Amino acid sequence: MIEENENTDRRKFLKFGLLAGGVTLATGLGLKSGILGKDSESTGKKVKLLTADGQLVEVDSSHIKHHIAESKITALQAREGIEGKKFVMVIDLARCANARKCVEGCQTMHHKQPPVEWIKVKKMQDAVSLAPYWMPQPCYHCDNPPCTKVCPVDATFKRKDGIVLIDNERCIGCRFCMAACPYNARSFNWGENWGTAIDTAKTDKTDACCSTYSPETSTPGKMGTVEKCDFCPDMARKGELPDCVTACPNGTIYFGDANEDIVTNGDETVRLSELIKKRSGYRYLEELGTEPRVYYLPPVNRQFPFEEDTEIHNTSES
Amino acid sequence: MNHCRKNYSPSIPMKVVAFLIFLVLQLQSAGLRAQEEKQADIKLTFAQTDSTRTCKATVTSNNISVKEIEVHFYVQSMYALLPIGDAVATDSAGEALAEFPMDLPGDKNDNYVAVVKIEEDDTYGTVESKGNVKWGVSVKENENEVWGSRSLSASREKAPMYLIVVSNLIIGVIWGTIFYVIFQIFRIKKESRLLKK
Amino acid sequence: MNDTNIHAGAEHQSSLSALEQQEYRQEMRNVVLHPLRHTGTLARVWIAILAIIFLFGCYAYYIQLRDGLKVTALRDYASWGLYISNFVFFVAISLVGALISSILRLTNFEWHRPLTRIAEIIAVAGIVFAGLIIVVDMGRPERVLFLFTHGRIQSPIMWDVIVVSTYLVTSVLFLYIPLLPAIALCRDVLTEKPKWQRWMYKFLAMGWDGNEKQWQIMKKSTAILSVLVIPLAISIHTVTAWLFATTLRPGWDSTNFGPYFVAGAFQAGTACVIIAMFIFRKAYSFEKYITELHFNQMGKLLVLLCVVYAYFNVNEYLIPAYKMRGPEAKLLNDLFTGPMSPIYWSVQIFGMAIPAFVLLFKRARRPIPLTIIALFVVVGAWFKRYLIVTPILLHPYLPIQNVPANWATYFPSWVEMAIVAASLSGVLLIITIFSKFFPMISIWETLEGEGIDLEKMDKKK
Repeated sequence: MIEENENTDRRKFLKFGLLAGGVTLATGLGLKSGILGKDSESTGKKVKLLTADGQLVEVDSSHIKHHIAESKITALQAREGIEGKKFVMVIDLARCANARKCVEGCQTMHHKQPPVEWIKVKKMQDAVSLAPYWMPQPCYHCDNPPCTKVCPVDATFKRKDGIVLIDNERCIGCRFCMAACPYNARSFNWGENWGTAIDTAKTDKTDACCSTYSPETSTPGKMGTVEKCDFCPDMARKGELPDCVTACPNGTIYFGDANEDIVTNGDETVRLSELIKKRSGYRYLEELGTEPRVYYLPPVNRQFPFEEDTEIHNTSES
Repeated sequence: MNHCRKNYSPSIPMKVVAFLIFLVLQLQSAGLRAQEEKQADIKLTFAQTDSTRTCKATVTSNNISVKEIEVHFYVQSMYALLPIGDAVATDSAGEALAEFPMDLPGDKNDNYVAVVKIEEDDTYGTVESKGNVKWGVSVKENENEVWGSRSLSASREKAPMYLIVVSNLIIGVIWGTIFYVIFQIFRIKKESRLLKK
Repeated sequence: MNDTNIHAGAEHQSSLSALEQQEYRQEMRNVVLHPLRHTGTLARVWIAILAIIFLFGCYAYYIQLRDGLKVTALRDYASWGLYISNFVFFVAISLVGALISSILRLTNFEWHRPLTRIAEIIAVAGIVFAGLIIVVDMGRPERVLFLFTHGRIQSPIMWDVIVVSTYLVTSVLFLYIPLLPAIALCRDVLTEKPKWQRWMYKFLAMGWDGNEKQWQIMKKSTAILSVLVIPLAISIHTVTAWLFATTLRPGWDSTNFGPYFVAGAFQAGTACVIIAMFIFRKAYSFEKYITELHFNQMGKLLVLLCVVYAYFNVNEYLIPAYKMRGPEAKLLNDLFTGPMSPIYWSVQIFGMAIPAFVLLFKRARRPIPLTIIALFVVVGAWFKRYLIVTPILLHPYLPIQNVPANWATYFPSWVEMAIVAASLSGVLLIITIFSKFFPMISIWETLEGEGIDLEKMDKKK
């Protein structure tokens, strides 16, 4: 009898232990999947983000997507543009803190490397007595573009959706458009693989980006032609925002379709007309009559004070 | 020896453990059931008067109205959802109203998609409902007309007419004269008595 | 040679007897054809030097084709540099063909007659290399035909291509048609020349035998071209000026640019002709035909053109300086007192103000002083074109930040300098080689102006 009891006790203990362990495990798994949802791949790298109400949070960097340029459209489609859209950008100068993530995002996507920048972040100080501020400057895709006017071979053109693109299969490299642009938005490919991050270009997962050229991807670049910010129309065709918009940790850049009157910076979505009106949006060098499609919101009620840059960028050509 | 007792009756600690296990399992499946079973439906109705446009969201769960639950109203756009007003809690009838702006643009058929969501509710989770509504205001400017019209910035086929006419006129007159002069050179050759010999 | 009445028309009869006229004609032919018969050592050395410079420039261009425009000092801000300013310079000097051959002819300034060929060959050589240097500046020169297959008429570059090619054709015709009697002369007289050269004269002479009908056709064609080439010449430099004036940049955004460039072009071209006059006169012993009178007249013309150009400069620089509008202020300060000021003031003073003043005195209009002053004017004109192109590009509206140091400045690289030197030597080569095959003085025009009878061509030697 005693032997049996002992055995029973042991059995009981084992049963209890196994059951308890199993239940804990099951509960734990069940709770986790029930509450948290599917597990996402995390890179382990953390990036700081500013939410709409001014909170700083840390997010895994896999959530900041770096997209790959790809496009499989016809030449006519590239010249006409996406039907029914009229892309517009709003840049909130009250939020720009010279993080330069927009610059990096754009360069990553188009396989560019310093000193070539298609979106530039400049310290602006209109006069010595006026306050300095950081100003990101992409191409403005003007509605009265001085650049498309002067191109002798129709290599740069304005599309229905407002985007101004360059066809580097047509460009003869005369650089008249660069002279004509008052905002210095354009860059030139001065040599083979000029400002190109060749390594990433070669190891890119979708080979499409670097073998099938389209004016919509602006990649790969061609020696002796002009290139510039293109508002990422290949991303728009996939319903994705340009890289500079999503890369900014402060949500400085808004992008959207003016026909819908809605712009978003990835987190906040607002009506374009309301945003401009409420925040006194303006366009840079409006008096030149170029009619840019990028609006700026003045640097008032800044979320953080102006800070000088801590390092000098792009000091060398390679 | 027979190891099986004839009358198997668990001891008290064993019973407690078993009960605990049962409870945990029940809670877990209740949680799962909550995600599957406690389902809420949102029905959208749209009403328009002269100066207002309202969207009414009726939240029901198994045909019972759900009160005091927060719903969010949005309009779908290309990249994101535009929030309309703040979150509204359903009233006792399970209804929530939101006023939509009168001047929101739509697509080419003046439609846009209104989206109503319950977001991460404890009981019902995330529920979404969409509805097409023809409240879109037509976009004033016909872009294709601007793009297709002749201008200095346009592509080569769409050059301004005055430019095409004047430049071709000038080129025609001048090159016509040049060809005339070249022709005169051959006339000189013709008039040559040397070559006729 | 008697002191001809410079305002005499073709109807003026010479006071020489028939025999004296014939002697005069024969002597002139001998003198003018002498350079075609003999090439001295100096000429050979000159041609050799020019050829070496030209070939080195071709090598530099090969480097540029192989490695891309990065071998120049051009970068995203100073995207137009020496090639473009050189292009503007060449277009400028090629206007003089129209001035001397056409405007002076139509206004009955008879003293222009011995100078027409020099002016025309400078014009042709200038415009040929203007076209070539512009292709050198292109990033993808193999696509130059796109200008014709995909050209946009809205673009000022298209206008420039059209006008430059039209002017080239017209200038070649304007050089060639009055040259016909001279080619015929070469065909008949230069029998010792190699076969291919004789064939060339025969082919180009178009059977010219000096009969009444041919003279009629030739003179009528020349008259038509005279009228045609004036608006064309004014157009080429106006349209070239519009390459800059149609942009929004401070410094280029000026309504004054068209006339400003044209005035500068006439001035620079005239100075070129003076230098060429001096060299040919000395090297080919043309003293009897290009006389001190001609230098005097050209000197007066140069003064006039310098004064007109100074007037346009005042308008172009004084008025913006009075206002000192924001974006222009930085540029003007750089030009007047900043890093560009040595070049700026040298050009304005030595290239324009001093010539305009000094040439008012007859002593300065003698051959040697005039040629020296003309040299200053030409060099000043070349640097002036540079001041018009690159400094403006280095003063954009937006601040230049976050770029390598060499992107914010411009000093030409060896490739650019070699290619520009090659283009200059190419122009001189064309002129020199032309002068070895064709007479540099228009015999019939000069004789006509003297009132000497234009006899029929000798069939025998």
